[in-house]
Amino acid sequence: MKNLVLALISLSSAALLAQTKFAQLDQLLPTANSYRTASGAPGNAYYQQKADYKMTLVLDDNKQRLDGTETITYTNNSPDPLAYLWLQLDQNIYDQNSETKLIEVEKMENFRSVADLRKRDFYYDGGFKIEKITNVSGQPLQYFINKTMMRIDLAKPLMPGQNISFQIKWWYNVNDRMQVGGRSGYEYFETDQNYLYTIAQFFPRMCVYNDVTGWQNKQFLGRGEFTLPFGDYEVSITVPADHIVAATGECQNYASILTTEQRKRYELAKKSDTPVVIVTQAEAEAAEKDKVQKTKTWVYKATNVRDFAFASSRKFIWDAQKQTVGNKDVLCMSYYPKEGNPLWERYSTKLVAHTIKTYSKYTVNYMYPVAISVHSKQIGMEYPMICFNGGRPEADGTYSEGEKYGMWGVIIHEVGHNFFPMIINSDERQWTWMDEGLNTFVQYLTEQEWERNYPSRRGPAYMIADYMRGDVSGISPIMTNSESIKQFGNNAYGKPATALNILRETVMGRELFDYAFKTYCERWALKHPTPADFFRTMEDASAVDLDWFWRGWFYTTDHVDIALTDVKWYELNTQNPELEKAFLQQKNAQKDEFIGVTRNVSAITKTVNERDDQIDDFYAKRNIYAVDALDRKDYENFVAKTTAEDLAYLNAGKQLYELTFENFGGLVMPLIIEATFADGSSKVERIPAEIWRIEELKVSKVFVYDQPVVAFRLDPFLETADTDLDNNSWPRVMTPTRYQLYRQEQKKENPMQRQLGLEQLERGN
Amino acid sequence: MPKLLFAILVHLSAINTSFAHEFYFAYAEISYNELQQKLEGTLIFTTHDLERAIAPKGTLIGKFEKLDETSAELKSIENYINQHFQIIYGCALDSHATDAICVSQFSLEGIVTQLNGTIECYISASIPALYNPIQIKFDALMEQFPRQQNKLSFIYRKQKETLSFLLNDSSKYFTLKP
Repeated sequence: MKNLVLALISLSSAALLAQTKFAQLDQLLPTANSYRTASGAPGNAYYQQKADYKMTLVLDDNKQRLDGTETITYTNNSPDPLAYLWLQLDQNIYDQNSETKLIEVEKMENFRSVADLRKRDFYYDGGFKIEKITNVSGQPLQYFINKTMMRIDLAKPLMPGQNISFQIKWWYNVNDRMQVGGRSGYEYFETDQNYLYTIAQFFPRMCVYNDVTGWQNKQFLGRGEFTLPFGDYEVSITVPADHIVAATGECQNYASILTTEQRKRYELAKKSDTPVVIVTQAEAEAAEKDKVQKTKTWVYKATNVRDFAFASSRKFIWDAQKQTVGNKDVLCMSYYPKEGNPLWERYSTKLVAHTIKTYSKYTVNYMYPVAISVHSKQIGMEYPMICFNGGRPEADGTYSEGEKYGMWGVIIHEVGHNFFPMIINSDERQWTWMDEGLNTFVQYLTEQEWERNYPSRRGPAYMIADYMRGDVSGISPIMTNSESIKQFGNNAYGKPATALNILRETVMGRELFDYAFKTYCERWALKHPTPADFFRTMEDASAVDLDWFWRGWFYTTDHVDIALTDVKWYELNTQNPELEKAFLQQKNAQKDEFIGVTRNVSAITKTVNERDDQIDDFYAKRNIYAVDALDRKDYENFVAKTTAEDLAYLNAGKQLYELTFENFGGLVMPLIIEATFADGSSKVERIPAEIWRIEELKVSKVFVYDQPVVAFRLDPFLETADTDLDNNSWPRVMTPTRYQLYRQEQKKENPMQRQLGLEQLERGN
Repeated sequence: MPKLLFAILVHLSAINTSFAHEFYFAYAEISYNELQQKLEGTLIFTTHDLERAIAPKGTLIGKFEKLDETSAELKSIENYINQHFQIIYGCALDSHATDAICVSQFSLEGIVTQLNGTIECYISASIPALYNPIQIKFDALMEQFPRQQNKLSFIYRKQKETLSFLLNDSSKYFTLKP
């Protein structure tokens, strides 16, 4: 009996090992439960916490310091009593004792100048200064700060369904973004001695508590972004009176902030389908010179958002237009200094409007009242309803084409983040790909709807091949924690975006994919999804088993290299001796002849049997290609036993090809084969990836055509990310290298020289 | 204990650590043209990263798109490539069967800046004979961006092999197969 059990265990282990690429994901995914179902939807017991904030902020433009008092009301919707609360103190990565710099791997080669060393040791008194934490009665609360996390100990547990309010008073020195770096901070403009503030992660924020992680209190190390609960915000921001403020939510007091003329322009913008300037460049330039010392307070409200950010500067030009989404008008706005023009006044707000419209089509309707793009040199960073974007022309107002596309791309990407993760609120600290990857995918769709053949950097399958091919020691699976990812950009942005594009174009088709992807977005809008919820929903809504795809693309570093290694060509034997013997005779005549035989024709005038007619016997005299009565009789018998349909098929001249495919890269993929025929026409065959379900390394497939094939090509539309196209064709065709293509296309003049030549020609010189 | 000799730069660099992207990836495709006895290939970088690497103060940002064949900056790119992309190979000197170790010296034949933010640098180096062992050093951009990863596909007699290079592993050996 024991032996039998052992044998069974060995057999099942062998079965598991044998079935690797198509093994179901069950062992890898968390067990479905009443919070999150096996279909990928929120379960009947799904819950999420709520954190509401009331904040009073004062921005000191002379000291570049932000002071804040916030009252947090935290509602425990979980079934668990909570003995303590965790909050995030993201500014503490700038604290002197921050571990962010310590954990950077360094080599001497990184420091090649004194400037490098000074930059490394650059001192800035950053980090939160927490002045007090009290309950609403003003009684101090116990708290403990562990680097970027703060625990508030409650006098008694917060029970399910209860809420608690408490107040935190804090301040910090705003970082010089151009020196210290960071997603937020200030930029100083030396020419007019003004500041532009983009302020985010600026207040102690509640951590997420849920059924997946408990408290999500992984330290902020600088890369893995944020995991935040939804809530309502009321924020008053006091800034110099000549500053213009942009913020998450809707301003409640434009009446007391803006001039009469600006309010009129604002009202006009709310009804306009094209951008209307609310604060003009002339007004901004006047403010740059005056530098008013008085202050004004802007009041904002935002409902059901996961965060709050704002920007403030007297340099801001401001324009806006409406974009209708569903049955609601969204006010799309841009704020930028004159240094952003002419790019920003021309494109930013139109890009915001196009982005929320296009994303709404593929995901869920944009559900906030405003969408804002703020110009912030070099970076791109996202927050609810507002994002900070680079793309700055040169001082003389000119810009390169690349700069233009860079600006377009970053605005589409960052505005797109309103959907991932601001609305579909995944855990960024754990899984970067869930927001960056999905967002980059929809960014690609949005770019392609902005301009035909837009030069997107990520999305098309062939563009990821260089990253994925060959030595994989330096890359990680997509399913890697945010802080441990190697090759962050390609891994968390490019590869998942490509994977989704492949699902849409090749594996599932656009109709099935779009429905399933939208279903995921609708299910998890204003909720907290996990990777399993995404994987399961995509299958649940499409009836396509994608476990092999998730396993290969998200859990491994395998790449696609499928080769067409053999082609065998057959024709059907008609059994008709007239045809078949003639065919054999023709084939024999086409055989290559040995040179000795050829030369002997003239060298040997006559052989013995040619001179002596007694030499040749039956065997020498018979014609093996002659059709005799027996042959005809056999064929008549064959015809008598064969149906008319089968006979017709046999005589139709069918061409049969057995193609062999080998999987060198590891990732199994559908086989897309283009057959080109003798008459120049072609046919595309699409074989699902399941052809590899039993034999994962080598498969063959037979194709039957009405005419001979002159060439086969695998992946002719570059849709599978195949990393080696040289082994994809029959007869073998080597893909030219980039260098060879360059040499072929090289022009002797640059475009400007060509333009000069054209102008000379037009002048008649 | 060696002493380090640094260039003195008065001002802190304007470069910061947060760019609008996280690419940090360069790719090289190199093949040996036996007929012309040349190594030929293409290096692909993120344009702004290369601009930052070549001019630490960022003065070249946005400039590569405007370069033409006569631009002086092309020499800077060529020098940078030769410092950070080297093929060290067995060679024969003076047509004698003298074993020696040679280091590639690439000429930059041209550049093309792509609208998706990458720059392709086309290079070649005259190499009369190429023998094992071949060592490839490819640490371009790694001093600026410690997370930079470079990949190289080496094509020799229709066989292609791809190697990856990291800050702590920026030199690899490659064996020519007949």
